[in-house]
Amino acid sequence: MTSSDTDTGAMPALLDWLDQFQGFRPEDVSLADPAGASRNAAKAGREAARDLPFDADPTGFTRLLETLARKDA
Amino acid sequence: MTLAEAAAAIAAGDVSSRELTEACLARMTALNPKVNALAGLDEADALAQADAADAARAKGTALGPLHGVPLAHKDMYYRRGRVSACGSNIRADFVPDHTATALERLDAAGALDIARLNMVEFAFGVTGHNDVAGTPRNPWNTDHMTGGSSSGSGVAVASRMCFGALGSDTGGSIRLPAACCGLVGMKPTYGRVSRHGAMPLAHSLDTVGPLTRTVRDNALMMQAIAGIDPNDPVTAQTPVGDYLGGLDKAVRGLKVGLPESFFYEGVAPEVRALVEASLKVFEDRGCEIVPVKIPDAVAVMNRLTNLITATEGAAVHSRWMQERAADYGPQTRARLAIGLFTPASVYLRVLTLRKQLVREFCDQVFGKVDVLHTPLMVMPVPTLAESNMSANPGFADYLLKIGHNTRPGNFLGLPGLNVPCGFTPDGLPCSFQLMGRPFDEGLLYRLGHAYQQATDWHEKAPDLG
Repeated sequence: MTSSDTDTGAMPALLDWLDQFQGFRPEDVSLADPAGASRNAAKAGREAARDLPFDADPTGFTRLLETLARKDA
Repeated sequence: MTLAEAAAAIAAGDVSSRELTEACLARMTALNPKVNALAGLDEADALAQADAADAARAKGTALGPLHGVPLAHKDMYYRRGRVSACGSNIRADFVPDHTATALERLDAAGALDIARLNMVEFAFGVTGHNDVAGTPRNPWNTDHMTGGSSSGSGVAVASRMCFGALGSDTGGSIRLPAACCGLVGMKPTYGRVSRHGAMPLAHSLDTVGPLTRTVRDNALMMQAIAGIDPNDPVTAQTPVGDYLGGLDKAVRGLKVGLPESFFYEGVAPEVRALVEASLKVFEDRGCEIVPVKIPDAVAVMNRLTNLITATEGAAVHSRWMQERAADYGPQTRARLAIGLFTPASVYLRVLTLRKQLVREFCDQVFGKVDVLHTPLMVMPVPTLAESNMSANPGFADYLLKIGHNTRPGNFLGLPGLNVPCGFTPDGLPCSFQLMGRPFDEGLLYRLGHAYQQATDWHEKAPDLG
């Protein structure tokens, strides 16, 4: 994973989705089977994310922060 | 008496740990009915800890920097054999089999742990409301919100029930109650303090830090808890600085950034006046005030932080959401439910973008200034009624506004120090925030301490009768 792998063109699509997310009202949907909903969402997400570059490892984020720390400390 | 003064007085034999602990317990007993800060209290255990500390001193045992000082912590730091309810019904009887690293390190420094403090249910909320365990009250005006999620930590320290408290910060949960209650609060760099043994909310964002009355007190606690921990793989190898040793270094010539955009959007005039006055204090101390352009992407970080929190929180809670949905408070349940519907592709793209955005932010902002100075909240401290999400149709927008200036720091993983800078006309505290480069907690403490040396806001106390 390098910085050049990051697709800045993803931002508009993300914002579109966030608009839906922020307007979402959970009381409008059935919560009778939240685990089932989670499974379905995760399955759809896995399919959508196939072949996309990503790096969700939080230890990697710490290492990145360490490279950005003040060098003259 | 501050935490640092209490530690010094105990070490010098001017006061015993028992005397200070009895005083704290008396305030808890007298004031808790008004402010609801406590989740649990075992007075006999607290006094036994104090007596053990006094006995150790009498024997000439080497004393830690916090020896005998009564602290209390948010009820999400596990201590083996003691209930940790996390502000919930679901964990009301949960007894952990291990102790949080942060508590072990405070124990090693000699501190006492005298009470469990109330919090937002599962730390998922910024206002302080808790539908299941009860909502703490702001000691400056009990009609106003405390901020959350470390609500009890803010209330207990401001009410002088203890000398300092741990909170946790995923979207502002240390800095917001510190701001609402007139305290210093440090959200450290992601990875600076171990989360082992702390209830998780969102593992990509969660941080552990102290709430205290002074910057020096805060540095004392942070010095004790910071550092690598094999039990939390995200802790950093970067050495911990000498926070206390750096407090009195000069600040002349440091560049304090004044954001040209975003952080002052929607700021109330009375908040702006106080925050701008605090900037003048830094100028008078020889700092250079430098206007700085803020990357446009900061505007979406508030919402991206919410997305990560809801998604990772839903993953943690999915089993209980299925089996015990009725045991959650309605606000917590609704916010967790949102996370169940985040597509994995969106979540992963957000985490990927995060790395690029923190590089851009550090380059554009900290390439020009040493720290960024912002309002902590853009509004005066709201009342409990107007910040009650259950009754507020502006649910998402209102939460976004409260966390407007805190969540970018969580998204970017950067340290943020809340410092009180006065009172709005309604008598509620107001604060500024200093944000720094990764692992620059020491510089934030140095500047915050310089501010408190020049002002006396931190010496004001709420009148609780």
